[in-house]
Amino acid sequence: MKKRKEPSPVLTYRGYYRESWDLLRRDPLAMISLVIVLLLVIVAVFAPLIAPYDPDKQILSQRLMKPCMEHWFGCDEHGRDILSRCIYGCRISLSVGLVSQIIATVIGYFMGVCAGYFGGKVDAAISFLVQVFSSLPDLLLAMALMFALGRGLVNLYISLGVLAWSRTARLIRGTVLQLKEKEYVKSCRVDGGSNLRIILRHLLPNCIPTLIITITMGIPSAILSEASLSFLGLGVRAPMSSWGDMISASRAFMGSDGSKWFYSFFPGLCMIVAVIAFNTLGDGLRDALDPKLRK
Amino acid sequence: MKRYLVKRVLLALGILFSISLITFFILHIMPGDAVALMLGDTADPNTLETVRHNLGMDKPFPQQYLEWIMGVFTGDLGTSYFQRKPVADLLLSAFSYTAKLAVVSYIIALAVGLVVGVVSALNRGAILDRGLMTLTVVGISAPSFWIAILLQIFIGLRFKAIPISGLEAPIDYLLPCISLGLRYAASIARITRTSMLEVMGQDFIRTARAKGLSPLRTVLVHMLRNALIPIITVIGADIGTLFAGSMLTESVFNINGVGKLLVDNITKRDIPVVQGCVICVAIICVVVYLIVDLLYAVVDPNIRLGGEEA
Amino acid sequence: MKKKRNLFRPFAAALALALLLAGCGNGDADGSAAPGASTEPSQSAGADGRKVFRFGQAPYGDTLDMQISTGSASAAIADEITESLLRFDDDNNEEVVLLTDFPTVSEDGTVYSFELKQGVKFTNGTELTARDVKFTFERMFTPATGAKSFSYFNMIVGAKDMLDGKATELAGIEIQDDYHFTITLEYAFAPFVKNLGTSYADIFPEDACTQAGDSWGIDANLVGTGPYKFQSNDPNTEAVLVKNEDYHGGEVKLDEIHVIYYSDTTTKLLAYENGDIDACDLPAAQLSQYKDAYSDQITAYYPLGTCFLSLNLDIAPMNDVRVRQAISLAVNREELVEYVLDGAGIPATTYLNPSIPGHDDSLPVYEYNVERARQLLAEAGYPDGVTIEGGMVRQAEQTLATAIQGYLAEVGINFVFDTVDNATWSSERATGKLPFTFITWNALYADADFQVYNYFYGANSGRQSVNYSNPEFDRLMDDARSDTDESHRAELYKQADKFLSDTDMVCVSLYYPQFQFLAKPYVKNMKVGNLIYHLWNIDIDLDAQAAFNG
Repeated sequence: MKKRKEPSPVLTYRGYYRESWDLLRRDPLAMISLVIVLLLVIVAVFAPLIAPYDPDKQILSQRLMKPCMEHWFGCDEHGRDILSRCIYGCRISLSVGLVSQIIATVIGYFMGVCAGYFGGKVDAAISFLVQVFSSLPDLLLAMALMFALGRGLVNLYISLGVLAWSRTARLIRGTVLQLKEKEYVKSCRVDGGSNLRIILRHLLPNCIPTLIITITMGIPSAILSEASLSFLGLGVRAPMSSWGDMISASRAFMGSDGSKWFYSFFPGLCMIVAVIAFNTLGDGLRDALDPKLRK
Repeated sequence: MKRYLVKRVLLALGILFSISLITFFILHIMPGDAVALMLGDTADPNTLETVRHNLGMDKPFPQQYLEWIMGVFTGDLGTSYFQRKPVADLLLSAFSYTAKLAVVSYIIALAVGLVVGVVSALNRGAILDRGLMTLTVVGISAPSFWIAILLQIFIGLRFKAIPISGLEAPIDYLLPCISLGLRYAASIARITRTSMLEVMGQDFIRTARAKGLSPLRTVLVHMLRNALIPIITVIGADIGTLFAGSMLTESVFNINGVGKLLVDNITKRDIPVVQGCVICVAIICVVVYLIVDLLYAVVDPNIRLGGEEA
Repeated sequence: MKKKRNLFRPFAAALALALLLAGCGNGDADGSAAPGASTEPSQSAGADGRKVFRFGQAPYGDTLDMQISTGSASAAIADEITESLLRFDDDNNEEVVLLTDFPTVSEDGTVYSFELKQGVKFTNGTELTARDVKFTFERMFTPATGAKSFSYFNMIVGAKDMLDGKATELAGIEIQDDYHFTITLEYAFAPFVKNLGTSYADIFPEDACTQAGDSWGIDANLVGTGPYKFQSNDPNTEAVLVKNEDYHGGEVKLDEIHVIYYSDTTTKLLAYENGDIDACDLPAAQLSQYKDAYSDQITAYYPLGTCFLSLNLDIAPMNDVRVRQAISLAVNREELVEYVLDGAGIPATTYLNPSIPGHDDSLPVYEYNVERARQLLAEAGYPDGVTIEGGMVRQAEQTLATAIQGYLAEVGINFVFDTVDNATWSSERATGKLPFTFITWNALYADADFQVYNYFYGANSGRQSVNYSNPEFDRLMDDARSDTDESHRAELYKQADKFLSDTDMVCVSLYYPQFQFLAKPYVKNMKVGNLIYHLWNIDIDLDAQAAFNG
């Protein structure tokens, strides 16, 4: 394990993050996954320029066409190019991952800070809520929420965001409990600093490393949850299509001899590349930002 | 210890109560209800109202919840709207499948994970270790339903002797257990490897080796036993995701478990059945967490004494 | 040493817990799967000269009490066990079952006189009498029963009073003696005898049905006069039906029918390939995968339905007939049937199904003309295209809806729909406010009344989210309902259909579905009447079976 000096009470931000970046740069796996993540982001942003075909253009005579030079990943049951649909699907997966994690982080940070900072009854109530939410499989509640809200991209953001907050809240609470005892927080309180000021000015900057890690680690699980929901028919609206939707649709067209494998295979492949990249990057960030967070 | 136990059990009951309230509420605000579906395409509005009334759907929400929770205390989980059978009966039959699938998958995952972890640790840095660890990364990242579909396409459809549905004969377990157990096998392998490596550096292992114990015995007797604690921690944390995963696996492999019962009935708005399934999963999760917590308390007195003797 | 013991204890406890869970799991399963459920359903088929037919179908999901269930999966099983007074044969013609002849009708068309066959026994040993018929209908109209399909029979005098809870006896059925009874209707209703031939009018034995109470129709709890009776039925795994030795219709052909439930189509088809079942349905989605290898085992059949895009005429822009016509012109029905359905369908020419009297055989397939569609849209005030949104489709129609979405995009219509579950769909549609959806509307029997009246008649079209109101059309419907001259009725329906399919273009008819099933060559006389499998006709050629299995 790499040794590093204890961070100073009020972090000297530039120094701290530069040091972390140096650590991250020396981790080859993390760098490879960072490149892949950046590539995925580029693909998502510039999907219309990159995709070889219009993802929604149906040419029924090309129905379930096998992979070939014109259609690398083959065509789906409407004769639409699977590669183009995977490229557009990247937009959905990444945006679901990012937006839902931002929602989760805002809720989780607020709850975690309140619990850790105020303690007592507030802490007890919030900790109880955290326990309730983490007692059920995420997917189960997300499913119920999607049924209640209906299909659609925005509803996916909400359902997955609302359910992922408990993990962030727990970590932030722990961090805040430690910070609260630090001299500079105590002295600010003695000087009559308002609670809001302490929460935003002193606690938030110190929680940012934790938040970066939870967001990076949360994105792949949000992507997987989105795929599971889509698989159950609770994803985005047609003709838009995420990786999970495509896998779900492919179920009806496997071919009795499995000859239509490409329809299920490629969207899933895209998904695990993205998930592995985010997971590995998250591991690297965790090591670089705070060696103490390691298990 | 006794006070801690009572406190934990009360907390668990509180959690279960809250979960039931939350799910009851979400199910209540869901658009659509079972009646229009039940009556088919030609029902007139009066009939719809009558049936809703007969099923008690027009009662206010708090009353419906109270009646349901009172029923639960007397062991009555209600009656399915469509199948017209007691929910408890449906759950009992479904739970046996889910439990079989989950337990068998997990035991296999545990066995495979431990072996892979130990082999990797002993061959640290070798090609075998790297290859296995790469595989575990894929295993952790791949969604179970995708693995399930690929197994069906590349194994089930190629080799007709391997069934792709049901869970009756031993051979039926093959594909569902692989798809459900893969990610647990992978994460157990990684944890085993890490803790083995930590233990291997310690003094008593070197002593044992020096005393002339065979490498295999060293592994089995000393290293593995000391690596078990982190693994047990993971088992507790896995139980929830195991049930979520089995929901999808059951759907793909046509297994009549709790997950499939839930998915099938939520689309029909058979509310008593859905409510029963959720509470069943919640009870299992909460009880397992409770047991794990209590086990820690037994192992580590610091937890119940408030960390005074560190 | 002490430390080590502590470390090991939780592991032992966890292991014990795992074993406990595994143990209780196994115990439960053995109990629940006992009746007739096994992985290799019926290996004995044919081996000892017994005729056993194994049929794979989706679980029916509700009950076999056809007063309560409306599903064809329930009907296929229930029809082997319980019978109506009449029924429809394989060619959709009505025939008598429990009667000596068709009922006679009074001149004003309201009083029907029936004579029951003598000596017909329910499989519990009691004899069928007019009392059971009256009991059956009284049960149907008793609100506590929760019957679903009473609207086909509630023109019987006194039915409405019973439904409102004002009477406990049905005034409209009078019993003369054990074998003779009359049914009186409030008004002349031409399709009444046909309604009596549906499964919804299955006759139940009074004593057994009363005794069973709420559990009637659940699992194997069903007794009737049919050719088969239950040996066992687990609605998740398998039903075993055995021959009724005393069947009133003569010798029953098979010794046993096994209905094996598969909720997943792919699985069911693999079971067929493996020889675990002798026959099953083959959905259009899987047709292309099977049609080459199994061409000699596939039989196509044509239910009495039409698949169409149902539009809400209250909502812009669908309230403009030119927009509806443009939608129709944008869809290439022949291509749709060939590729999306793999040929399993007939491109629509009009709304009424070709097998239903009143269908105009002279019409061509609806025109496909993108230019003309754009032109009509422009005339309607949408030269730059238009968005049609808010519609809902069910999972089963998603592929079709996506294909239509693709066609409409070509003419500048942005067609936005949500895929929802069946419960949301049904509830939303019943409000009358759903902008559009896709549906295949099937008649119960070859008569236009069901296909047209229930969907488009002014008073009914609201609950179907159509809101069509045309007094001329409604008058045609009313006249046809009370007319007893069949050929004249057909002429009226033909005129009504012209309103729906051409003049007003109320709905965009797409195709008449073709369904198909797979059956091994040794299965004889496998037929489907409309949507319901007629398993009672099936025979098995034992020699052919032995030869087939090698």
